[in-house]
Amino acid sequence: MKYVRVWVQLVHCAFSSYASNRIDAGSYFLGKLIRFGFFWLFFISLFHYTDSFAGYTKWETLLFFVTFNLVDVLGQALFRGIYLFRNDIRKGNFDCILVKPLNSLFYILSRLTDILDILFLAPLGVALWYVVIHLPPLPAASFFLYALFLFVGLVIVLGIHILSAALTIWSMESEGMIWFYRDATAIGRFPPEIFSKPIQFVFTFCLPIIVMVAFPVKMMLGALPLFWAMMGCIIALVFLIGALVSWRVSVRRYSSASS
Amino acid sequence: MSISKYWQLNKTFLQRHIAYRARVSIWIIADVANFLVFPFVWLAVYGSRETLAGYAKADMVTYYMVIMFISVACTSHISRHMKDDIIKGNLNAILVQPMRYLFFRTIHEVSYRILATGIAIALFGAAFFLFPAYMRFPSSPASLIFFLLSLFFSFYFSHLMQLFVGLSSFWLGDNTGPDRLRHIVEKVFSGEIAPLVFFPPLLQSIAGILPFQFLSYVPAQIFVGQLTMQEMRHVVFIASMWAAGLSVFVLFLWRRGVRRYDGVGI
Repeated sequence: MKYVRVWVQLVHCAFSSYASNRIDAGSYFLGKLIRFGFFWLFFISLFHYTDSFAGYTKWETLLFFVTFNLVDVLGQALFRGIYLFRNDIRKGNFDCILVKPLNSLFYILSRLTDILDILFLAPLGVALWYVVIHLPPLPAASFFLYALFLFVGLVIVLGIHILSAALTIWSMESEGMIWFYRDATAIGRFPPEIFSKPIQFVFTFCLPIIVMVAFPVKMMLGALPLFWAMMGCIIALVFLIGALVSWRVSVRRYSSASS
Repeated sequence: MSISKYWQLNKTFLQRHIAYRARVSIWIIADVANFLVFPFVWLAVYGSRETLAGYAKADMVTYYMVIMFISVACTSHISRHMKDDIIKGNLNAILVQPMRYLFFRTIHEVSYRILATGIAIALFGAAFFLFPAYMRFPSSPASLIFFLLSLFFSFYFSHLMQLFVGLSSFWLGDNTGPDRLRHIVEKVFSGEIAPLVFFPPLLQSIAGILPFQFLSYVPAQIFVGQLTMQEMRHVVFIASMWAAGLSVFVLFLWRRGVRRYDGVGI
C-alpha cells in the first residue's frame, strides 16, 4: 500500500512537471500521434501490393502493430525513470536513493511516469477496438488470454529495464541501451514469421520481444500452441529473475561517485 | 577566423569520443538495429515478385542500407547539448572564448561523425560482403559523385534542424517536446520508414515540398539509381537553395536568441 501511495505521489509530480511546459507536452503528444498514424498508413500501403503478409491478413497484421504500441507505451509510461538513472550514477545521487526508506529499484523505475504515454493509451484503445471489430468473431476467452499475455509482455519489459539499470552501474550508460532495446523492439511491429529462424530464436529466447508482442496477438487469434504459451511464461519468469540477480550483483559492486 | 584552433578542437573532441567508445558503440548499434527490420518486411511483401513500384529487391534492401549509413554517419544530434548550454548557463563559458559558438558545437558534432563514418563504412561494406545478391552500387561515377554531394546535404540539413531546435531553448527552455516532434516529422517525411513513392499521393506531395527528403530519401534514391542525371542536378539545386535559406534563418535565430539570453541560464 505504501508503494501505491508513493507511486500516486510520483504521478502527481510528473503531472505537474508536464503541465508546467504545455508546448513541450503538446508537441511530444502530437509527435506520437503522427508517428502512429504514419505507420498505420505504411501498413495500409503494404497491403496495396499484397493480400497477405507472412500469412496474416491486413487486420491481423495491424493487430501486431497496435499490440506493439500498447506494450511499448505501457512500458514507457510505467518505467520511464530509467532515463534519469545514468545521471544518478554519474553524479553519485544514487547514494541518496539507496538510503531512502523504499526499494531503490522501484524508485528508479517509477519516479518518472510518462503522463503523455498514459494519455496515448486512449487513441491506442480506439485503434485496438477498430482492428478487433474487423477480425472474424473471437470468443471472450481470446480477449482474456490477450490481456494475460500482455501482462507477460510487461514482465519482460520490466526485466529489460531492470537489466538496463544493472548495466548502467557497470558501464554508466543506460540511455543508449534503452534506445537499443526500443529500436530492437521495432521487430515487434511485424509478424515474426517474416524473419529467419535464427533471428526468431534470438528475439524469443535472448531478448524476448517476440514473446512480448507476438504471443499476445497469437493467443488472441488462437494461433499459439499450448507448449509455446507455457514457454512464453517461463521465458518471462526466467528473464525477470535473471534481471533481478544482475541488479543485486551490480548494486553490490556500486561504490559511489568517487569510484 | 583561425582554422588551426578549430582543428585542435576537433582533435580534442575526437579524443573525448574515443574515450567513451562503449557509449558511442551502443548508440551506433541502436541506430543500426532500427533499419535492419525493414528489408525483411519488404522481402515478405515481394514474395515471388521481382519489382514493386520500380524497385527491385536489391534496390529496396540497398535503400535501407543507405539509410542506415546516413543515420549513423550523417545525422546530427547537437540540440540536446545546446539546450543544456542555454538552460544551465554553460553558454557563458563559450561566449567569452575566442571562437564562435555555432562553430564550436558544429565541430563537436563533426568530430563524432568522423568516428561514426568509419564505423558506418565498415557496416555498409559488411552488408555488401554478406549479401551481395541484395545489394547494388551506383551505376555510374556521376551518380556516385552526386551521392557524395547528397550525403553532405543530408548532414548539413540534419545539423541545421538540430541547430534550429537547439536555439529554440532561448525561448522555450526545455525543448524536449519540439525535438521529439522534429525527430518524428523527419522520420516520416525523409523516407526513413519507406520510399515515399509507397505513400498516398497527398503525403508524397507534402514531402516533395519540405526539405526533409534531402535527409535520407534523395541520397538513397540517387544511390539505387532511381533518379536521372537531370533529376539529380535539379535536386542538388533545390537542396542548395534550401540550405542557403535555412542557414540565414538559423543565423537570425542565433542573433535574436543570444540577445535574449541573460547569462544565468533559463
